[in-house]
Amino acid sequence: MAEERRQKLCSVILPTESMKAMAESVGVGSLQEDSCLALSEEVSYRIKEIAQDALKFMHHGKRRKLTTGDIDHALKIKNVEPLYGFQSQEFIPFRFASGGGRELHFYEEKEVDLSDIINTPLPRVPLDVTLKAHWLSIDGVQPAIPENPPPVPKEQQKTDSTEPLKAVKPGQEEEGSIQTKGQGASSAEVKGKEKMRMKPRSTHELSVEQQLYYKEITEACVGSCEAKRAEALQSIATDPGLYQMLPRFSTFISEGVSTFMNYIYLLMLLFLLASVTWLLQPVRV
Amino acid sequence: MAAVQDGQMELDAEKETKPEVLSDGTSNLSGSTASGTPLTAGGDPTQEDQQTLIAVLQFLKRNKLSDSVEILRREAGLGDQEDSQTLEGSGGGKGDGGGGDANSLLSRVSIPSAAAPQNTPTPATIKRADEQLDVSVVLSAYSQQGDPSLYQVYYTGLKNFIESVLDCHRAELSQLFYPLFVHMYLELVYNNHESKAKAFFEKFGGDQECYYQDDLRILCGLTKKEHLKGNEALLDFRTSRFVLRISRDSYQLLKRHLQERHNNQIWNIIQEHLYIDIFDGMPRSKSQIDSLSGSFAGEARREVNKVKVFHGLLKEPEIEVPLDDEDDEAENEEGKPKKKKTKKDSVGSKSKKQDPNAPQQNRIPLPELKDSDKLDKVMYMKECTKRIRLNPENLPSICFYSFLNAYQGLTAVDFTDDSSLLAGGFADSTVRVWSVTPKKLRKVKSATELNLIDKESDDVLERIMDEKTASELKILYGHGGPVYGLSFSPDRNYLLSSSEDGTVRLWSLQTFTCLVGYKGHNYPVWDTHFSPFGYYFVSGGHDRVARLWATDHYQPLRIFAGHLADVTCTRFHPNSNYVATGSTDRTIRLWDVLNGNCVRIFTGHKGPIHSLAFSPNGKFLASGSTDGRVLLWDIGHGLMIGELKGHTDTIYALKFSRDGEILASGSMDNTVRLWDSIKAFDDVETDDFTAATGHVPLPDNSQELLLGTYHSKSTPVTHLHFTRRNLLLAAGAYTSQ
Repeated sequence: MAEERRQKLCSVILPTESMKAMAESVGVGSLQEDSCLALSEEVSYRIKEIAQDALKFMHHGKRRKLTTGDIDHALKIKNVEPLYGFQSQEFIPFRFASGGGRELHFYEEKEVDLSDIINTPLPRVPLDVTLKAHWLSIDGVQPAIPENPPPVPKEQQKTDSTEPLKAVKPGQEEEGSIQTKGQGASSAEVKGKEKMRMKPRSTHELSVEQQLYYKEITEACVGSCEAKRAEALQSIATDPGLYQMLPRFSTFISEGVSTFMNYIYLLMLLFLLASVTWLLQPVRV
Repeated sequence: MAAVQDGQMELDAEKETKPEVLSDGTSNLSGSTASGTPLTAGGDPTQEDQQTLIAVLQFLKRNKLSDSVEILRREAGLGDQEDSQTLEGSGGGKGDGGGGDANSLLSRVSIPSAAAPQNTPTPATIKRADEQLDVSVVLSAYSQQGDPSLYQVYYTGLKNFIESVLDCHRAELSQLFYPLFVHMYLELVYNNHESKAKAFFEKFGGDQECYYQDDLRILCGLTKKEHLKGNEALLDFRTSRFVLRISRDSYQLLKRHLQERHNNQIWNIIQEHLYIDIFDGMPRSKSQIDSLSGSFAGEARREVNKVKVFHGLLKEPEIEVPLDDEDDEAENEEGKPKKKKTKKDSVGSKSKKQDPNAPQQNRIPLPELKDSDKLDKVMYMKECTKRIRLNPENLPSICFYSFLNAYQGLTAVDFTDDSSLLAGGFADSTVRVWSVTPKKLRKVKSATELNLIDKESDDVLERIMDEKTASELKILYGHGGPVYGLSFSPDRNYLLSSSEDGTVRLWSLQTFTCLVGYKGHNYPVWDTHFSPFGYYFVSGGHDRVARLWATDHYQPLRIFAGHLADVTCTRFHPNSNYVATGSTDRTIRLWDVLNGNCVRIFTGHKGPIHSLAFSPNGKFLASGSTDGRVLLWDIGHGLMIGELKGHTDTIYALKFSRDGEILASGSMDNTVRLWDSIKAFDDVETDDFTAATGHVPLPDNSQELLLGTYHSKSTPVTHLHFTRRNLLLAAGAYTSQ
C-alpha cells in the first residue's frame, strides 16, 4: 500500500534576493517584490526543465556526471542560444563577497596579461584514444592479471593485512554469532577464547609464486645490483595484490633494521623508506 | 439517490450544470433523473445549448452590454424568470445538497455554497454561479470538475475507502492513486489554481509509489499553465488515457462505492482520463502489479497485445557449401554427402514446411543475395561448425576491449557480425573504426590511381586497395555533435552513425568517407540499427518517433509514432519484419514494418530503456533500463516472462549468445553478468489460456539464473557481442576515477 511517507518532494525556487541582484547587475534599478517572485518562479522552472533535458544527454553519453556540454545541448533542443565560455577547473568557481547588507557569489574574471599567455609553454597534448584488449574471463574464471580488479575487495585487503585479529573466516564468523546469541554473561569470556583461537588461525598462506616473488624482492633490495633494486622497489610500490605479503615484509624490515642498526646501512634505510611509502600509498585497484 | 427525492428545481439545476463534454459514461447517474423531466425553457433544443446560452447571457451581463442581453433574451426565447428560476433552482439545490455531505450530486453547481451547510441564494452565491458558468469554463475542453478546494476531500475520501476494502482488492485499487493524483493536479494547474495545486501536491505527493518519483519531481516544479503548455509529454499524458488492469471483483467494488456515495467527481475523472481494462480472474497481488506498472501511461490494454506477430525466422537460402576445404575434411572423416547435410541443417531451418509463426518470404521486400553475400554465408556456416556450445557448466570466455584515454567521451560502440571491425562513436563527433584482426584497414585508391591498375588481373580487388595508407585505425569526420548510435551493415560495406545534430550518416567502409546524410529528425537521434539483411535501417530520437529508412531513399519509408517520450533504443527483429523501440516513457513497442502499426506494448520498466536484444529464435525480447533490471518478454503472447535482478546501475548492453543459451548483460556498474536464458524461458508456461488475463506469475529466481558476474577495473560496459564461435567480446571506456 502506498502509505509510507516517502521523502517529501517540495518545489524549490530561487530566492528573490538573487533576482534583485541580477537585475541590478543588468542595470534595472529597483525591482518590485512581486516581479521578483514571478521572475524567480519562472526562472526556477526553466532551470529545472533544462536540467531534466540535460540528464537525457548524460544518460546517452554513458556518464554519471552532468557536464556543461549536456546543458549546452539541452539549450539547443529548446532553440535557445547556448552559453559560451563555461569551462572551469574547480567545481565551484565562485568567489564570495559580502557588503552593504547583502551576500554575493560572483564569477571572478581575472585580468590576465596577454604576453603571459603567449609566452607560457604549450600544455602537453593529451593522448589519443587507443584500444586495448585483455581477457576478462577465461572459461568462466576471471584471471588475476593487472588489467582485472583484484579478486578481493580493497577493504577486506586492508583488514586482512593490518588487523589480523579481526580476520574473519566464514566458519568462525558463524561460530561467533551463534555463541553471542546464547549466554550473555559469559560472552566476554567466549570472545576472549575466540580471539586466542583466531591468532594462530590467521596465517597468511602464500602461493608458490608469491613465495618466489618475496624471495626475489628481498634479495634484490639488499643485494648489490642497483637496477634490480630500483625495479624491486617500483614493483612493491605499484603491484596490486601484495597485501598478503605485507606482514612478512614488515617482519623482514624490522629484523633487518634491528640487525644492522650498528652499521649505517644505507641500503636498508632506502628499502625502509620505499616500503614505508608503499605502505602509506592506497592499495591500487 | 438524493436527486430523485428532491423536486423539479433540483433536476433543473442538475441539467443545466452538466457540461458539454461530459462523456457518456457519467450519464448513468444523472440520466435517470433527467429522463422524465420537461425542460422549463421553451424552445431550447438541447440542454447544452441552454446552458451555453445562459452562460453567454451572464457574460454579457457582467460586461454590462445590456442591449445585447435584451436582444439575446428575446431571440433565444429566454425570459427574466428563466434566469432567476434557474439561479434559484441552483441556489435551492445548493441548499439541499449542501445539507448532505460535501460530495453530493449537486456539488457541481457551485461548490463554495456546498461547503457551507446552510445556504440561501445570496448575491454572492449567484455571482459565483456566474463564474462557474463562465463561457470559457463551459467551452473549455478540460472543464471544471468541481471546486479545487474540495479535491483534497475527494482524494482523502477515496483513500479511506481503499484502505477499508479487503486485502486482496486493496493492491489493485491502489493503482488508482497515481493517475488520479496526477490528473487532479494537472487539472488544478491548468485552471490556474496554483496555490491549491501546491497544497494538493504537498499533501498527497509523498504517498505515491517510489517508482513514480522521477515523474513526481517533474510535476512538482510545474505550477503554471504556461509551463504545462510547453511540456509535450505531459500534454500527451493529459489527453491520452491511463490504462489500469483491474479484476472484475475489485472493479465492481469500486463502482458500487463511487456511485453509492455520489462521488461522481472521482467517477467523472475516472471516466474521462482512465481506461480500466477489466479481466476475469484472481485479483493481482502487489508484486504482480509492481512488476508491470511504472510506465508513463499505465499498462497496456490486452487487445493491443493480441495482434498476431510473426516472430519466426525467415528460411535461410539454400547454399551449397564447397567441399574442397581442408580443415572441414580433417574434422569429419565420414562420407561427404553426410557432411553437407549436417552443415545445412545446423544453420538453416530444420523442416522444409513453413513455420506457422514465420512471415512470408516476400512479406517485405528484401534485397537479393549478391555473390559476395553468398560467400559470406559460406564463411558463416563454416564458423558455425566451430561454435562452442554454451551451457551453465560451459561459460563463454570474455575478451574485453578497453578504450583508453577517451576522457568520458565514448558514446557508442558496434562490432561487425564476423567480429573483424570495431567502431566507436565519441562525444567529439568523430567515429573511429579499428580493425581487431591483424588485417589492416585499407581504403580504395583515388580515381587517378585506379586508372593505372591492370583491370584484367585476377587480384584486381586487392589492387584497388591503397596499401600506403593502410592502418589499424581510421577516423571518420562529419557529424556536428556527439555520436549516440552506431550500426554496421551485415555485409560489412557500410556503417551508420546517428548523432545529436539530428542526422544519420551512412559511411562507406571501402573508401572511409561519408556517402549519405539522412535528415529527418530535427532533434538528437539516440539510436540506429541496420536490418539483419541490410538495405533497411531504423532510427529513433528525441522527437518521439522512430523512422524506417532504406539506404537509397532520402526520406523515411515509415514513421512509427506512438511513444509519449523520446525513443531511446531501436532494434530489428531477426526476420526484419518488426522493429522494437524502447523509450523514456518506460514502455517498449513492437512495430510492424509492413504497415507501420504498433503490434505490442510492453510495460514494466521503471526507468528509460537503454538496451534491447532479440533472442536468435525470434520468440523473445530482453530489455534493460536505468533501473538495473533486465526484463524478458514473450513476443507471441505479449507477456512478461522473466525479471533478472542483479545490476545496480543502467544496463547499456544486452546480447544473446548465438544459439540463445546465454544472455549477457553489461552495465554502468562495471560488471558483465551472464544469465541462463534457456532456464528462464523454460520455467514459465505460456499458452493462450494463461495469456488471457494479461499477466503470468513470475518466479523470483534471479539468483538461480545468474551464472557469473565479472567485474572490470572501473570500466563501464558499453557494448557486448558474441562472435560466431560464441566468444563474448565486451567493450567499454576506461574511466580513471
